[in-house]
Amino acid sequence: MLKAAFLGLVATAALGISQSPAQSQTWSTFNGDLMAQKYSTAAQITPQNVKNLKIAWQVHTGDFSKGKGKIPESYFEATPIFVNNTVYISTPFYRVYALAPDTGKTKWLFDPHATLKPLTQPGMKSRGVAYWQSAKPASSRPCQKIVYVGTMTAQLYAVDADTGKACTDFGKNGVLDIDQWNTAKGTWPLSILQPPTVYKNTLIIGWGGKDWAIGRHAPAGNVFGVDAQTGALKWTFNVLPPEAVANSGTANVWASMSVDPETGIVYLPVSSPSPNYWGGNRKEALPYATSITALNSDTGKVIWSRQLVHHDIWDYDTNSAPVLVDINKNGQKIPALVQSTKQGFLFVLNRKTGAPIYPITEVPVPKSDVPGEQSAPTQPYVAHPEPTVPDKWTGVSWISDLVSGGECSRKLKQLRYDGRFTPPSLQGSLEYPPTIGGVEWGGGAVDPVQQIYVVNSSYTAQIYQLLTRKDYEAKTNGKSAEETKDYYPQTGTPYGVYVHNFFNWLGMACWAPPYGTISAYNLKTGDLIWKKPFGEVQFWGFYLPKAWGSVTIGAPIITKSGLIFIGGSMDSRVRAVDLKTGNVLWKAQVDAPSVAIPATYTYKGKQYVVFSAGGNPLLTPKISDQVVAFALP
Amino acid sequence: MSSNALPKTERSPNYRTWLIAFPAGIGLILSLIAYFTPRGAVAHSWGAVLVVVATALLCVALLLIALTEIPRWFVVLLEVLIVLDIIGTGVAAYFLETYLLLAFMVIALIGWIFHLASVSSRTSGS
Repeated sequence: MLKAAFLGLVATAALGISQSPAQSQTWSTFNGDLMAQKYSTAAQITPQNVKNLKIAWQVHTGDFSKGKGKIPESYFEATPIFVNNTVYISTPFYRVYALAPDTGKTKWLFDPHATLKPLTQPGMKSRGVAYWQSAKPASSRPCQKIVYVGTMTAQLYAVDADTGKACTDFGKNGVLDIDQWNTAKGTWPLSILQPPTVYKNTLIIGWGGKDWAIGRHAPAGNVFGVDAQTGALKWTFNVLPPEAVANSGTANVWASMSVDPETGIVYLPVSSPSPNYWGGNRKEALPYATSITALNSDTGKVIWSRQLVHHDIWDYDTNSAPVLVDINKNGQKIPALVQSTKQGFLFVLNRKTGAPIYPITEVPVPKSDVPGEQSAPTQPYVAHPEPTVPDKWTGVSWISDLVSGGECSRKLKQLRYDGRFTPPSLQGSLEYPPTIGGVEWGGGAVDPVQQIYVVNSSYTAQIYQLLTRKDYEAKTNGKSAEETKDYYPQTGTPYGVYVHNFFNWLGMACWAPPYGTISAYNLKTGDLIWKKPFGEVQFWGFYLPKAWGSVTIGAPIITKSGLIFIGGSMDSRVRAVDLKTGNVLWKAQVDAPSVAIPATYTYKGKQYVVFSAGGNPLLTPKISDQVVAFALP
Repeated sequence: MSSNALPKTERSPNYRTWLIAFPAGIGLILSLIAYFTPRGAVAHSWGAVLVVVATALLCVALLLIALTEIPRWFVVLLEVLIVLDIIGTGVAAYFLETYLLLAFMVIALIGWIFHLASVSSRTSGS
């Protein structure tokens, strides 16, 4: 217990953030702290008074687009951070707002005038900003506190946290061009959609991109350590071995990372290699692809790595920062991490060694029947803690099947389905869970004192169909990947791919509910404490039964008072959930689904909970530019 | 006046008819509010359109019964359509989670039952 509190202090100190009694609880990173616990010691809002929460302030940034004009659709997924007595948040157009924490009034606004083109993503996207503060601030010098924002064009901007002016000592006049380290220049930029991870004076930077090409058509995954004040490169970690670069690409780190402030180890959730759904070209061992990899944050050297999917042909990226927490098990205190995945597995590992705390077994999996593919014979499987998604899919929804005249059943008969890890096929394979999860990029949250882990998870089904090059060209009429929704070329391979949701012609899910859950686990035993349907599906305005839950993106946060705050539901509501029971204690309507991780902080003795309600087309077409803070009256 | 039109006394709106018309009118207003409320939970949704149209049709049907001379078979047809409209709107309101609209549809349904009982008693008494 004491150690958890100590580590929290160390984590804060690692960012150089001082705390005074008047401003007791910050939210200093995308995940709340470096350990990605998404936990706050704030306790003013309790299960008893949470029903009284009211909007304290709200801001509309003005940066949103429905994609009908020149600017692509916006995905507002930024988690606000609260530090330096200021709320900082970036918009999908890469502008940074500095807001007063009690009123939402704009202190300053930084506009990099970024290019707003969908160079690597279907829409404009930013997941927030990062913050650094000098351990020994020189008074009268600017940029002793810096806010960083990245862009889709691979530019990382450094801005003075007090004034919003560019920090000209950083990169070139305050901008660091990450694309200078692109191994496949001229293809697409290394998009910085996720804020960098800041540990002491090092920024650890991953990037996002496109996963449907190989070799010279796709950059190879790499992660950079740069100086926080100058942007000078300290180290590079190359995920792919040199001999594999010609036949693959990406295996990048597009999600957030976590750092153990005691040891300085940074934990990378490494994504799948490209192309996503065909591995016939990449037969070399790619041990760091789709893995959790621990690096020395000073040198970028690998300390340990554990592959979570062998020869990934499902796009099962490791997609969130592992949650670091100490677990008391069998009388021992174990430095642990919990890695949630798209498959719904919870890998609980010793974070110093990578050894499993709960068993990981290699299980035989179905073999690919696609000419040229060599799928892995076994895959890692975690039975305990119970996966968030069941091993067998939930079957055809009789309602969707009925109203579509049996379309769902007819489709199913044409598909290959052999349970988990059914490989993509030429006939089309049913994937459950598919690339959209399972658990998405927010990951889970932990109460480090009670050692309870909470995570929201989707139950979804998609169809992966490989197409011969000839069939692919015929289906797409030679259009580019950006123009052909759900079709991806996998350039440099014999197959394109068609990936789509298992829907009927009315857009209804062909799989039976539930669609989303939220679960709590006791990390001391690995046992499930409770599991509830989470959120509601809203279709044409109608709310479907609560027992069905909702497909969910975003993540929970936990407060010391025993509350979970979470958006992440299709119904554009934000909720407070009882940590003990999983019951919803409070909910409020916001403008669009809040797919970002919320933040909570205390300022001048008052606790605030802030949500970005931006929406995501994966859930509903509803989007917004709203940032809304709730507090007790 | 056609031979099978209702006598004037039976057409005159009474408190039972208003017991349907009043909640129907309120229902229309609530539906319009739900549709047009900026950033509302069901604003500009097809579900909101549905209840706007349904409650508007309900009002029109009630006005036809109350204020115009129409053949008896048409009155009966409208009475059947009205109850279907009320139940359908109520179900839609439930799934739209617009519970005030649902409450007024329950009142309208009670009004419809009173209305039917009234017509029935007058018919059997004549």
